[in-house]
Amino acid sequence: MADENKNFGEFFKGRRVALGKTLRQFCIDNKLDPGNISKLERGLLPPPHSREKLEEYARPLKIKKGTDDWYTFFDLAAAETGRIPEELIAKENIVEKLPILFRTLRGQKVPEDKLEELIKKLRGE
Amino acid sequence: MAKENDLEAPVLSYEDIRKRADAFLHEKHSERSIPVPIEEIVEFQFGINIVPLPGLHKGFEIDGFTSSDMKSIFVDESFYGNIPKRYRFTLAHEIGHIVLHKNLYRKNNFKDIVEWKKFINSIPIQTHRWLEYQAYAFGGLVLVPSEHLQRLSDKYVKRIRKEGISLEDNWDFCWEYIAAQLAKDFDVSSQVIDKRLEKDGIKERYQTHKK
Repeated sequence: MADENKNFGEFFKGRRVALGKTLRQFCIDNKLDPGNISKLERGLLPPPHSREKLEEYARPLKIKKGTDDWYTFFDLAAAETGRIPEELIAKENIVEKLPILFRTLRGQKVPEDKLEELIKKLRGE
Repeated sequence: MAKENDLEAPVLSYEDIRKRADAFLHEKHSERSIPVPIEEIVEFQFGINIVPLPGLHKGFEIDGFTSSDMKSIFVDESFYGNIPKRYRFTLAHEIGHIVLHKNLYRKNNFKDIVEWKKFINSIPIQTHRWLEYQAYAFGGLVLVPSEHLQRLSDKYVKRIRKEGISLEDNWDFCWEYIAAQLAKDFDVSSQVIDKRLEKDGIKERYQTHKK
């Protein structure tokens, strides 16, 4: 049953998790790029415009044609058409994505100049 | 130079961390099968996004990190796709931070990047190392549950002896073999196994029979 409060990415993720597939496994099984699917699920990429592409995603998510979930999937995608990635990215607070501790090889801290680079990387993410 | 803050790492002995890891497994993976499905635990039970990030290791020597809102774990993309043992350990390590250091994450609601940088630079290096050590220990304990380590080590020692090979006379070679087998069973690196064998005193137990 579709949750009307969800956006496209959350709905997509909910379906994948309901299948018991981790992002990595889902992408391996269906030859999809995990970086892109992760962005799609977190709302950093807008849903695809083309119906074919959406159907391509609906298939591995086991969303059957004509069901409530099928219509929700397409409705949510349509509702988000026109939003551009930059707008979506700006909505996310970059500070919330930043680390506090780093898993590095020897447990050392990251030098200051690298922190700046890391911020740029996460903004691009 | 940034002023050091009064941040303190929780005081936890290895045995304290062992108890926390045991409690974690009891709650999140009560069947305790191996390899421990850490990816599933992170995604399905914690609801955390695992985000592959290209160039994280190459550019920053970082294997992974947890976002300050604890909603995402970022992992180097090449580990994510190609080095499952390292990927799995990174997840277990990061979950270690979330379990052991959540107060540290919760306490710090940075308003902006300036505040964040000030905080990061103010963590004393010794405290940072200590926090990392705790998460490292937690990761090893979660991915290599003690009872399986004990049981499987005994099984491989028995197998070696059945082949007519003296464990005592071929000590290093035999333990290298055992560690490699255990690494496969637990889906972790041999280094993680070595550390766990040492910490659980398993080699030491057999050492008493060594000539």
